[in-house]
Amino acid sequence: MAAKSEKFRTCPTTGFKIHGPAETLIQINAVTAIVFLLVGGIIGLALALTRWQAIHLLNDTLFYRLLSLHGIAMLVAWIIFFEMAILYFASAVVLSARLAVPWLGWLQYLLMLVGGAIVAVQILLGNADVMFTSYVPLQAHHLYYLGIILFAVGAILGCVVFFATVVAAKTEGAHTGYLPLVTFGAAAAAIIAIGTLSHGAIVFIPTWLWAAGLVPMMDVEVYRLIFWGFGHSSQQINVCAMVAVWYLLGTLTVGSVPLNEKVCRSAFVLYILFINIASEHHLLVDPGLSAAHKTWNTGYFMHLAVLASMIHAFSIPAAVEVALRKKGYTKGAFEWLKKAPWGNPGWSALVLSLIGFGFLGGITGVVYGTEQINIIAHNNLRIPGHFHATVVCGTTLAFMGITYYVLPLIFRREVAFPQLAKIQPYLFGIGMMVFSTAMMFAGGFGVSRRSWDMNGVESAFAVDFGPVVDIALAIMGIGALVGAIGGALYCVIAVATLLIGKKINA
Amino acid sequence: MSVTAPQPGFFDQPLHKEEKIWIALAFVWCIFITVAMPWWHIAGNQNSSSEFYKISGEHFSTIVDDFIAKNKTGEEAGIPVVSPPPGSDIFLRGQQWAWDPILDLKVNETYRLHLSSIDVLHGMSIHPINMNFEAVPGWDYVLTITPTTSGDFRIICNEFCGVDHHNMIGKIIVK
Amino acid sequence: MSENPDLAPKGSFILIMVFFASFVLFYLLNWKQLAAIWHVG
Repeated sequence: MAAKSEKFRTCPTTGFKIHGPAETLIQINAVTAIVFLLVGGIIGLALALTRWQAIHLLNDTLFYRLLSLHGIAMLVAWIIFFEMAILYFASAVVLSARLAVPWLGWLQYLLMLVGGAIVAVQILLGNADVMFTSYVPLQAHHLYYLGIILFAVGAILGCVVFFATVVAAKTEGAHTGYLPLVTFGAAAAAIIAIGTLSHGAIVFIPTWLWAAGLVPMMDVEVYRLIFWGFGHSSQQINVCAMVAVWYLLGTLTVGSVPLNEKVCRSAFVLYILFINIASEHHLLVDPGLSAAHKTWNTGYFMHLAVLASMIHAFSIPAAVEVALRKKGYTKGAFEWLKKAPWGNPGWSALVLSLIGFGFLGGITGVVYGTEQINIIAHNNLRIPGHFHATVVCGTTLAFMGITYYVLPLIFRREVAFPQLAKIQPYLFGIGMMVFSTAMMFAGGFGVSRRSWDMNGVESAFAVDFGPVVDIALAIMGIGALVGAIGGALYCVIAVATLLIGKKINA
Repeated sequence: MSVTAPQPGFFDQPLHKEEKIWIALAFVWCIFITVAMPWWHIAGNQNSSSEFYKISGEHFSTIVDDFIAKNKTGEEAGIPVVSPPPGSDIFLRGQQWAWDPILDLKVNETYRLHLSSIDVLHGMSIHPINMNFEAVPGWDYVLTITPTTSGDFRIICNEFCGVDHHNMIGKIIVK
Repeated sequence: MSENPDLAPKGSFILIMVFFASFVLFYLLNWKQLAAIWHVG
């Protein structure tokens, strides 16, 4: 790639001054993210067609191996690479500022790419059949843990570049006044990320050394507690980034203005204050911590973060409603909704993402994360049903929506296959909502997560979950198929745009 | 707009009436769902246990083998069946890839169930009632349980524990 | 900020009430499901 000019270009649509190095880093992180999404998505479909036991596509070894890779490709690689693009966008582009320390940004990219590659290779070699959670005493090859550490260090560097860019923008006068809400939300994500990735370092460095035979294994419950300090907080990074993208999409699709900036920002602060320590809802049916401790952690800390989400859940629809009412759609309670731009994939992604995250993901998360209710939810399909609703129907769909603006504004190409783009969010969103719902339904009967055969037919004490569950898993499989078509469409549209999309000249 | 700096004085901007009502309602709800947890500890019958001890795998195994020797009343598929007296300490051992012993319990009687693993993490999922707890190596988790329904139950492992994880199914009988 | 009633977010308020009702319902149904399993503590 030829060295990008150090100069700025002014975006004709938004008026932002876009710094060359920032633009390149946004592009390369976004493209890499989509490659991981494609790989992870194909694997995801294969996994769903295996849990749909009438099809049982993969054998047991391959199922468990690819399930580990699916978790890493999606929860770690796709999402965090895309979030790096968001961080550079929310700092350099939104503030019309220069990206501070571009070489550090390149180091971010390199570490994440190399780390991710090492992890993927180890899994595919069969050296890391330990799942995304890699709970000790299950042990992977030590290079697996090193790969994750390198990836995490890279991500931390990305956050450092974000903060340096914001600080430089203020001190050098590129941006004056308060930070825009999108940047504020991205900052919340980056602050949580630093805490999260530190948890990751604390848990993965000793585990890496243990796998290398240099230190003894840590206590299993200590690992689980610190891992989830990394694991759930990393989901909150996704929530912050997703909510920032929601506000951005509201602005871009219908010109919405935040209903009340104080409220939105306070909600982001609640996320920062309370999510980093709220990991015990993963340990509710574990020994090692008293019920009082877990209740306090779940109640006081987690539920205040829940309050923040509930605040955003009204704030965003209300802001778009006011914006649409200002355009003249004031008849009754819902004319604004009927007249909204349903053919705009950024809009449909926003709405479906709100519904998926809020109704399917948020409600189930709070309920299943209740100390006692967890007894009937822990480790059955209700859990992956919940987090597919949040991370896939919620965060991933929102990121897909914003892509339809990134392509013309940052890559400066017209979106290819616009008729397909119109329906893509519906296919993906509705498909994955059906998937999540069916999965949670099966989980309500006790069907185990991470299991190649729920009936254990080779066991002396095999069970039979019966036809209702079989049908639920078939519906889950069909949801996955529709969602996979939607996901594949997204990747095809994005790649086609980059390769053959009509260039937009400044 | 969300991509522009807010006007100075944004902090003093009053809230919409709808937003005020919602935030108040959401806050009250969050208090409610927090308080519900300690309340159920007082008023409800299904809670997570706060009784647990550190224990080595070898020590736990020895205790389990003793327990089996004292209470064995039969065998199924090579796994000993034990019929311990109501009110007593009973033991369930998880290991790659089987649960033992098969507990034969009396309905509506209370037992102190000691749950552990002697190798990796396993998940005790009692089917079909869908009751789930972690079996953790290095930890003796004591659950005071009272089976309230009788029948032939299964213990499905639901914490990934290796290549034969899905075949790790045990049994509990309640009469 | 105008208090123009035409611009009040009435529709969103109805939607968030639907959300809240679903939340309460799902929450209570799960406690009911929990109460049906064996006693444990």
